[in-house]
Amino acid sequence: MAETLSYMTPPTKKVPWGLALLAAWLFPGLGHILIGEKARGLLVGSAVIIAFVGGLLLGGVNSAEAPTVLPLQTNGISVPGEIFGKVMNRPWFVPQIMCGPLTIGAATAAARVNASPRLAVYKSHIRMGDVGTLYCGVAGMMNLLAMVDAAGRAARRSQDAAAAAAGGHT
Amino acid sequence: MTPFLLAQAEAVPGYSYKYPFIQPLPLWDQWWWTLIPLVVLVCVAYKGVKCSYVREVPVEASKMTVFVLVGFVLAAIGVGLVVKGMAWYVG
Repeated sequence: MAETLSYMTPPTKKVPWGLALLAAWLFPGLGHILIGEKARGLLVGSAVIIAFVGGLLLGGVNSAEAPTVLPLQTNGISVPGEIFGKVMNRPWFVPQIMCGPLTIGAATAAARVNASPRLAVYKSHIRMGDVGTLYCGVAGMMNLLAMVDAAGRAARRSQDAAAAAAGGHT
Repeated sequence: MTPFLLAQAEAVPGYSYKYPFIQPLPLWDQWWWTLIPLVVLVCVAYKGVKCSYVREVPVEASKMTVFVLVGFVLAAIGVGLVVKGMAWYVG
């Protein structure tokens, strides 16, 4: 009963859970919109996007700077170990990438800013950079929550449809 | 730029805020105000996936925001008292 209550607003469209998960990663809120929960998708997606863009405004695009993985040196350590070590130099990028192409775009912009001699001098003040990084990281974790929720609702819908087709329950 | 941000920017000699999204927003001494919108957004996103009906979200998210912010204030008072107490005990 409790499980039923948590899905009292069932999605109206049948979508594979993997597609809902991917859509939610590609654009915050799109997963919910795809399964028919437009209001929920707009609400959660707006919160994620405002947090992410707010982070970029507070700390600058360097708040979403990607770790530099290439070129690999492999000086006495395995390739996965080296990649892990380099990613751990910027661990907040791991939750940030959960915002999908938004993060990729911001990281690309950060790389261009850092490559420009004119703009590189405006790199983040350390405290505001931390606040911006936190905002973008939290936005990514919020989107991960939304992705899992959208995929769960889509899977639940598929199970309910299959059970109804088999004459289990409606 | 608002007078408040202008004053913050002038606090750092030679700093001028010209490029939004490239330069950090000049909130050097007031950065902790940024916690409030972050808490609101987290509460909206959490309650947005948790509530059975979307119409329940504004009330539930508002309640959660107040609880979290009150928790922050109480934690700050508690930590402040511990620090003051230690300073009093040591000095």
